[in-house]
Amino acid sequence: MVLKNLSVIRKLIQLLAFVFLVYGAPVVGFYAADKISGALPALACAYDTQTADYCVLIPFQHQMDHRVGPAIAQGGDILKALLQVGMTLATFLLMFVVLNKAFCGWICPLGFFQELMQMLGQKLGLRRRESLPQATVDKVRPIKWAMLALLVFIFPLLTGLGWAGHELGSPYCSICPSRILTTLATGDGSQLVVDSASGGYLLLSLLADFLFGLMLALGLTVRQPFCRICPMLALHAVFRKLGLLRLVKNGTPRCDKCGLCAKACPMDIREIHTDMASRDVTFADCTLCGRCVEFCPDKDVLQLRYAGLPVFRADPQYFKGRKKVQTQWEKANLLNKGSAPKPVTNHE
Amino acid sequence: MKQKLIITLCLTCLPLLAQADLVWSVEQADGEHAHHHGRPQQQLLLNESDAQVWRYTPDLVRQAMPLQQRQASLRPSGQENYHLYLAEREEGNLHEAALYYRYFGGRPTGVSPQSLVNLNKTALEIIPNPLPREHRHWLSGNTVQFIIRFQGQPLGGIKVDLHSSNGSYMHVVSDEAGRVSFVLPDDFSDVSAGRRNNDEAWLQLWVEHEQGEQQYRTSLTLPYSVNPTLYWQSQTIGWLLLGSGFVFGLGLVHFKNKDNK
Repeated sequence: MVLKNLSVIRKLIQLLAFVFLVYGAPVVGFYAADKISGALPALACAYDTQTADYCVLIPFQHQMDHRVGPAIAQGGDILKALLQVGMTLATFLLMFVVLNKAFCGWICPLGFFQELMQMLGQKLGLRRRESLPQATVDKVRPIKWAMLALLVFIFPLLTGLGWAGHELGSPYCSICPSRILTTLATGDGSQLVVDSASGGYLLLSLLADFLFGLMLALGLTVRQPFCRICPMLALHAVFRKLGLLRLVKNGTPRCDKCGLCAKACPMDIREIHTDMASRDVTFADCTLCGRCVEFCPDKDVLQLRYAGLPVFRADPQYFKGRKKVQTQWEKANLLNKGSAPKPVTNHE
Repeated sequence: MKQKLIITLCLTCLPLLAQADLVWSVEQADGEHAHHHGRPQQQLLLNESDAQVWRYTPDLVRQAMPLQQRQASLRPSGQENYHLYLAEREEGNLHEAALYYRYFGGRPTGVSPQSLVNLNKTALEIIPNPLPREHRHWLSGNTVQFIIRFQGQPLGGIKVDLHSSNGSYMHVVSDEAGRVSFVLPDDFSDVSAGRRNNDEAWLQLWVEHEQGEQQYRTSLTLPYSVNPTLYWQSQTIGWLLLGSGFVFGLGLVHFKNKDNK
């Protein structure tokens, strides 16, 4: 019965993925050559010595810094350097096509951790923000693109060209909360440091530690705070049309008066509700978690489709059951019932 | 001006060691010869010239290497990741070997370094357990482990002598599984902030074993670096910063909630 609840199934998969990606080296092997891909579309960190695979953002930064930049600066073989970037991208895409943006919503260790923080916040009776104001969401959305462009490609390239210091060779890794989370999870505190080697390292390490603390606090009350600015989300967004898994909408006039899908969305994508023209509603910020489908009360209006075939569809019966389970969970688990968000309710 | 700073390691002439024992040492060049990326130019030297030298590439191919004025080439093989330099010499009943694992960068080779480590390369071996993974180094103050193996089997109860280029000396004894664990010495002087601002030091491990009339001696040379967390990185302040971010976040949430009421 419980396994008919998509959120429970997703949590179980997230838990398994977390254990495997954070502690999986004894299964796959210790070295980079042993890893599954070296270009995983989720934030599994190479600094975690027990990880089973690496995030794709690491090779991208290294290739910009150690291959492409020097090739340009020293008149080397630029094509060869770009070929390596292409190989990494191709490896990423081979995996990405299978699950599309669900790597964020179902696999990413940091995404799962933020969901746990949110559950903890509810347990502690902290007042949860159901949705961020639209103005805030609109302001935050471009940050992920800047993170991807600047921290993953441009600054490392400038370092490779010799125009920036070594500090900016892998700047995203330097501030990534997953680096701190996954190493701490394996009992390694060496990545939670303040580094006074230079002004640049100092600034990046201060930012990393502060950002991690900030994410912990915001995660108690705001849904997926770091995911909203994550460069991996932006990278996924670029290639989302290639993925086999999609969020599909068959809008009806009833949608105008509802909006439960947008309320259920942990990324506050209101366009799922307001966009009546698009059939593919796998928006740039979507993590394909499926909550919008779960909380859509109208039959087949929202669907998760894999290679065109429906794998999970909105259903009034499921919606009623899901709502009941949600209410029961909140009654049973929340210390301060008044802090709970207003339950998602059906429209008339 | 092309000025080459040579730091000649005194390991090869340590009085505690028999002069004939085979051992690799590494000379570092600095100044304009240093690479923008990675470590400075280095030279790999053997203390004797009458040994046979092989290089094992990551795909486990064994290549004969010429020794020119006791120097073996560190030029890339076309593959990255770990390579092993092995020197061997037979003199009467004495079999000597010198081992040096060299990391050439992180480009995938498709073969795990564990395969290179597991391969039987010489009769008496000192095996890093494990070799440092990418993004990691042997660091002072960290505990490291090695396995002593003779003809493919772990060798227990054997004494391992350790000498560092910074003058530290100690010895440890292997357990029944052939394992030896010890803390890398924190014996750097004049440490500057930043890993690139400090030269690597070198540790040499020595083992000796007798089987009937036959005697075996093997050395392993490995680099180790200053541990940043002992000098210019602070974990305490890191935790404090994390706490500050957390408190700031709670405050932010609190005030936002107040605004919304």
